[in-house]
Amino acid sequence: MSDPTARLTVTTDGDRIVVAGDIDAHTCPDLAAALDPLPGSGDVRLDVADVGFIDSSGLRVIIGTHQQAEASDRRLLIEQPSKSVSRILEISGLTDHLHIVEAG
Amino acid sequence: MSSFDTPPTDRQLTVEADVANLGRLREHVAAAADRTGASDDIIEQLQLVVSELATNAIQYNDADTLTVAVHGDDQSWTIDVSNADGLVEIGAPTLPDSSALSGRGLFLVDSVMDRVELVEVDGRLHVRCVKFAG
Repeated sequence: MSDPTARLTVTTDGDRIVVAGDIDAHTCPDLAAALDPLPGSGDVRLDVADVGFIDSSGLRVIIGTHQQAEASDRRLLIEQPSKSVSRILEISGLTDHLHIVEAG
Repeated sequence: MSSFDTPPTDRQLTVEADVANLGRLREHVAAAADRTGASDDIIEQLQLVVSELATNAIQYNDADTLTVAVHGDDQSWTIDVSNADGLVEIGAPTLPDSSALSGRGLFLVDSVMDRVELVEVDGRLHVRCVKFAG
């Protein structure tokens, strides 16, 4: 049964990870656990369309995972970034340093 | 640093200094700002600010509790976050290198707010942030 108080859900389906809710210092360990070790053997797809909030704690997980993927000649694809995700990536100057896949 | 004789105590929330309370603090700030007619963009920025400052306070101070006070009208919003005793000064935070894993919190706060300063309230340092409409 799902935890009604949970602010973040992380669902893994092969190389695709779907994240929904709030990513902060409290919830980011759940995201980090889903990304370490990297799932699958190719690009890792991180769907963040339903992330309602993210702060620098979440950024730390994303940047660390991006670096881990690059080190093994793989990519972390940040798919369909929500408004909150897009804004913090832009403010942080990370838009051009990460692999971002906007909604088609 | 400046002192402040009458801290904004309306819409104040004190919680145990635990990251498990970050969501509750964000909800508190959002509700208080919403009552003043703040836009969704402003509310989102205020939530980011309180999350960053509260996380810093929890991680770098030994206080058992954390207090967030929100004060505002339809033209400006002020957030006070205790305790900032571990901070010597706010200064002008610089953007870390893109490969850095940490060090972005205060930069983000400074980027979305119009004024960020340390103030002394009841003998303890707080971070005070002000956002103006428009």
